[in-house]
Amino acid sequence: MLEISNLDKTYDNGVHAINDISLSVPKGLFGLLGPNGAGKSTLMRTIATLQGADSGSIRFDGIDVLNNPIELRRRLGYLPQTFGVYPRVSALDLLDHLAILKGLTDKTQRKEVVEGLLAQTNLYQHRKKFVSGFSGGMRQRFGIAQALLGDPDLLIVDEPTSGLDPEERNRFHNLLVTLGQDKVIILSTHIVEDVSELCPRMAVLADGQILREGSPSALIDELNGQIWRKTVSIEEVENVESQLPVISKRLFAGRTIVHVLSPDAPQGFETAPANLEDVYFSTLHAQRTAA
Amino acid sequence: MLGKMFTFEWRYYTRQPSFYVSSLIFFALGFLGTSLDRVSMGGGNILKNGPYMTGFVMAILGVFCMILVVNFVAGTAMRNKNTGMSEILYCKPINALSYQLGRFLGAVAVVIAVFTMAPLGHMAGGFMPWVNEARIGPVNVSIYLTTFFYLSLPTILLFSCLFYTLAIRMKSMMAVYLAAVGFYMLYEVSSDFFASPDARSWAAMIDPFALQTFAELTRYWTVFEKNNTLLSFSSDFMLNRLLWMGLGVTVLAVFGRLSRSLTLTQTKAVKKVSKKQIALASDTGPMDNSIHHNGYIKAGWQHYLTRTRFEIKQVIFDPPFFILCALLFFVLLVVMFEPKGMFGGTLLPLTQSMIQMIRGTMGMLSLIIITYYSGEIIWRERESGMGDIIDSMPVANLSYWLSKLTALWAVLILLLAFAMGVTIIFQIGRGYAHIEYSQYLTTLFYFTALPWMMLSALAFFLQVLSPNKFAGMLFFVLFILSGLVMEPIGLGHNMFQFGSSPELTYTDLNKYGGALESHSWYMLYWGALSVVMSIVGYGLWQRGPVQGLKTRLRGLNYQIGSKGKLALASAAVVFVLSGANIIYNTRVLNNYTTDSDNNVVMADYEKRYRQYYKDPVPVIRKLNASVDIFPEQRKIVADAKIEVINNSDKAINRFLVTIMGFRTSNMQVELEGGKLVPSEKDDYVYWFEFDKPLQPGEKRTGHYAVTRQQEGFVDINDTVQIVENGTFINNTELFPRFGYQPFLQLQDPVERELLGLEPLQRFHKLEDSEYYGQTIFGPESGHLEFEATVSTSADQVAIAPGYLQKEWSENNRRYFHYKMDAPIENYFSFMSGRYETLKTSHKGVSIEIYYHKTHGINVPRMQQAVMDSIDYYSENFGPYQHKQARIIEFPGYRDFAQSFPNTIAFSERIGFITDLSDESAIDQVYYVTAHEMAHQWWGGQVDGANVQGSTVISETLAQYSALMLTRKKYGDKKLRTILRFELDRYLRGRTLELVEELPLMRVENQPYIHYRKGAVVVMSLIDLLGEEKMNHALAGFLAEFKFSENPYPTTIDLLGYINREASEKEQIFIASMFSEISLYDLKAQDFAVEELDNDQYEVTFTIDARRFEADGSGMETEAELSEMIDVGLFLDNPDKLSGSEEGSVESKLVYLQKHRISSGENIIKVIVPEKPVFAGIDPFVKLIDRDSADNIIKL
Repeated sequence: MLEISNLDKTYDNGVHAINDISLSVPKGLFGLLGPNGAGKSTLMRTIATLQGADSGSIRFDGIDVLNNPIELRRRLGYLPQTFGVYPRVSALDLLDHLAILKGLTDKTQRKEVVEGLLAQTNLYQHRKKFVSGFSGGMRQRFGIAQALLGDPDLLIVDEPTSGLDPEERNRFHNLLVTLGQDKVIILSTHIVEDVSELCPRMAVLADGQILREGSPSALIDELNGQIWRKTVSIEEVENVESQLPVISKRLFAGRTIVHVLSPDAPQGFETAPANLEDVYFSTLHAQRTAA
Repeated sequence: MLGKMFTFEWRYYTRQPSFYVSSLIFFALGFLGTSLDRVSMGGGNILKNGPYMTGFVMAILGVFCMILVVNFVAGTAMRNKNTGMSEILYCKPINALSYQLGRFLGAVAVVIAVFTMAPLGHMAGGFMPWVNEARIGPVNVSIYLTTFFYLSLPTILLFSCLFYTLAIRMKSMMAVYLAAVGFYMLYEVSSDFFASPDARSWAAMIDPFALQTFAELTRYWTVFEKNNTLLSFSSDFMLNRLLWMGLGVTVLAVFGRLSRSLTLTQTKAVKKVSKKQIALASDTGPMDNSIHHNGYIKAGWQHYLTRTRFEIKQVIFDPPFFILCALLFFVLLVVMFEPKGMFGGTLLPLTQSMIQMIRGTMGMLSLIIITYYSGEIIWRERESGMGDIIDSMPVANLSYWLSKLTALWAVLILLLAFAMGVTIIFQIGRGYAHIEYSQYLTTLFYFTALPWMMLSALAFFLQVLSPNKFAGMLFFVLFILSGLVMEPIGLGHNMFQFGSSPELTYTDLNKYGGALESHSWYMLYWGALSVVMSIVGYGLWQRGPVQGLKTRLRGLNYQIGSKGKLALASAAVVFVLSGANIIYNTRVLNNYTTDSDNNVVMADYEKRYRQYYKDPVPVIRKLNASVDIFPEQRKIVADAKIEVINNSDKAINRFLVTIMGFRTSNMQVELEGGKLVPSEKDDYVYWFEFDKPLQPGEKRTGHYAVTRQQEGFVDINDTVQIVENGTFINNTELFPRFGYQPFLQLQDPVERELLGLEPLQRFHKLEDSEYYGQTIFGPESGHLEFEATVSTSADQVAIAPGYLQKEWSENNRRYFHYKMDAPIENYFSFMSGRYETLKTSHKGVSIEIYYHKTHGINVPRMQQAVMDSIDYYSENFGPYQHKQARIIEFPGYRDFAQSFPNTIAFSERIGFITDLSDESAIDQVYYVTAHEMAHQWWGGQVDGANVQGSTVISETLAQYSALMLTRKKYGDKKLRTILRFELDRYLRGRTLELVEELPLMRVENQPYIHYRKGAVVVMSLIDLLGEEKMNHALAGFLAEFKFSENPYPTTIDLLGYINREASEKEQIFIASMFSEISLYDLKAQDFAVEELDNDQYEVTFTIDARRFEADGSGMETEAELSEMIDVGLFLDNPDKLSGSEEGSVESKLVYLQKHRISSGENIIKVIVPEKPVFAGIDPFVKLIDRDSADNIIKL
């Protein structure tokens, strides 16, 4: 459905935010994983027609996104990573306003949709309050509600669950999965768990480049048997790092569990089942060492 | 800590671009004050870097310092909150007081540093090579220091304290902006409101910028004083500065929260909702939510409506809008109630004056609104953080652009409508029923709002081009400021000033005149450009994260779209075509000339033809004019049969013919034995060459003719003489003139020097008897037999001097034949308009008043004044020479009244619109009518010779007559009010003298002398000699010189008659009033009352008295004083009494006698039966006293 080819963008300050990205995204949930500053938001905003590119193209269901943004906007739902709201406007009014902008011109239909979405995001009882007075989580839910206006075919959600409590997060994930059956949903996140829970396909993005792309399970399978684990004291970490390709470290009960990527078992390491986190960290590690 | 915070603040700001930008701006502002030659404020001989001009420039810049204070000091107060640093900062162990104070002082220091650039620029400007050295004195640092410490520093401190406190308290930059605007408006308003002499010391006290204080201090400074007197810390000045500084510091100390411990301000917690959440089937997919697309256009329209409603709501329900309304309301209130007439009188609340008030009040405000709201509205999405969401909606850029523009328009239009509502209520409240709604709508919305709407589009465009809100606002402000330099660099044409059109002058008689047409063309022109900018503007519309212009330019083509391109092209075509039409009208059909172009023409005229000044010219003895006025075409076809005579003792071979003013065609001058030859260089100058010279005393006949027409429209200086209703043109404006015309000479010495002209000798010396045979009209002057046939449209009346002989209609036009029964001065006028008339007859004189149909209210009063004038003047001076007296109203393009033989032309702006309902006010209608009627004697029967002092014989004597008549009708009390105004206007007038102040006797057509000082002088003569002796003197003078042509009288003759009535001692005083510039400084110093045994009171009154004689530049030297001057004792303040009911002064008067007062200290002891509370020396201001406030002392 969504075809990105040779997309390239360099900011005026010299940051090469998107570096020749080509990507094919089918229907369903697509996870875009990457560290802070990887270019995720730039990519998302570019797909969401908010920003141009220097070269390359984006096509969605036959729409040339970069050259005909207004077409895509009719079929787009976008939840930015961070956003503010107008002061002194209630949730109901603001969502209604956005619904009109979205093209929901029929009054009764719009009322139904707006109230439905507010209910769905658990904001119905707050609908008369100013959105600017909402707490972070409520505001995020409002953001989700507006992204779903107009039943978009392409839904772009940039770190949607940040600020949500675990319960809300689960509800939202369920919603995304339901929606993912017939639309393209791009979920950008730096939380590996989100992707592994939700996405049949994913890509790892760092320094503006797609480092790896595929289905999470296939990517995990590639690493199976190459991940080794050892629990060491904090003092030892440095020593291990200097000798072995450590892809990740995690603290557990005051000691550090290091993961090493290696075809063979290093001494003193035990084998560990590969997971998506290993895929992610190994990808980043490989890129760092290559650089 | 304090020091560290101070330096931190200092370093913070000195690294901001705004520091350098504002420093540069202030340097430039100061620099322009001295380096621009055209900035010749305050007269020709004033040093630009002298104490007065320096103080003036710095005081004005004191208003601008508010901008700095808002930017830096209020910025400091708001910074932690705005940048979100406060959470980090406030958990540090900081001593609040030294932290806040340090920051505050640091910011103040930055403001001071930036402001200092202005005096530096001012100093530097004087050294520029192109600056006229005569206007720059040696650099005197003490001037700058005194101005800085007295004027600038206290103002900066005051506003720093106030705005800092306000920002801390209100937590809003907007509040501070509004406060700044409010202060500015208050200043603007108060300066008008407190313009009357009584209110000025109040104004001086309460003006936070001390501009009024400065004005008060320097009010009567002459050129000499302006260049030589350092600012002194007078009591008013000191009080003002201390008052405001004290207020500022107190406010800061009490409300500034300087020592409050640093904590975050409480944000209102979201009210906890009940935890009971409504169970909803939230896990299921959304309901029918899909979009039913309904055509691009329809969606676009709906988007536009929705967005517009939303944007307007955002703007209107925002506190700034309410504050703006309140501010506007308040300012209007003040303006509505401020006196606007002569002598503190009020005017009728005509719709045109109401509109004038609204336009005046909103002028500056609208620019502030556009600047502020364009930034707010354009950047709303980015500032609220909503941008990414809103911008990913399928809404066209055009919808955003238009809806936002509409919101700004709504603000402007709503404010105008609000103001209109306020003034309409005011009109109704004043009982004025003639409310012209269509005029309201046309002027306020078509002439006022429409250009603002276009400016809004420009402001939007600049915002879209800018990387941030403040840059956009700055660009717009720069655009506004650029308007100030367009004229000097030769781009003064309205075609170069976005959104502007030829200035509108609405008159009740002629309505909009040509402005409706010209304004429409300019609006089409600017409207087309606004469309172009709007299309490019929405094409470059910012969506999503802020992107550079370069990036957005790439998408321009797509964003504009094919329809947009079509619209762009059409708008460009309209722009070019309407521009071409404007050029055709303003530059091809008419000459576009700026003031400086005209100055060059005038200078050339003088350089080439001054040499022929003394050449004799034929004088017209008989004139029979045929004048056809076509008001709709704004055209006059005039032809006059003339008979001329050579009055000189030399034969005339040729003479100069000058035809100036607006466009003419078909100019002819034909006299027997000669022909008209164009001059080589100038198209407005001709030579009439006689084949057969015109011998002395020889008469010849001929005719001259001219067609004058205002075709199309002009950019500036529209023809006001020939209009659709209310044509008023005099012979010097209509017909060619014979001989060199000295009135075309440039007066301003600075301009003269710039254009390489010798200093001007304005007038011939009083003693120069060579010119006793002519009047101010020069060699052409003389009496002529007058006859005229004037025609006009069928619905108008045409008027010329003389008596109507016959009136008839022909070819759907009306004809009037006028003939005068006695010779008149060669100065007459033709008028035409649709008039109502009020006619009566009084002692064989028919009195006719022609007035506009809605202006009838004061006409009976005018009629009364005419009758009273005829009575008093005939009885005391000599008989009225005509059988008729007519007053004819003309449109308010010009606001004077002027006397022609048996005819007075009277502007609609004076008299007709005065509100006479306040009995205590001066009856201006009566006074002005009496003055003009007096000209039938002074000017009409006797005119001064063409030497210094000639205007005393016309103007000062008319002033005298009007004052006497007013006194007769209204008593002494009103006279005193008039005199106080006249004295003030004289003292102010002399400070603006361009060349040289002269004694009354030698006045060179200087209005502040012959009218203002003249009024004061003649009243002191009345006081000295009494009415009877004065009238006797004038009657004798008139009898000798009535209709005399050779010689015409001079002030020497007049003074001779007055002196005949005076004793020798009195003659000394008369001489000092007439032939010197004599100024008094009388001061009540001490006042003691002692009760005597016999119920009597002994009063000891100490007076400090001085008299000065000033030279032409205003330098004063002390002169001997020994005169009989009024000393009065009162129960109440005599100043306050003058405005109240009749007779009150007399009832509160305990003692009033003349005492001989000499230079120095005078002690007067008198015994009175009542205990006085006030004592005054010259309490009724009969003498020219520069400070009459200190003449009265309270016990």
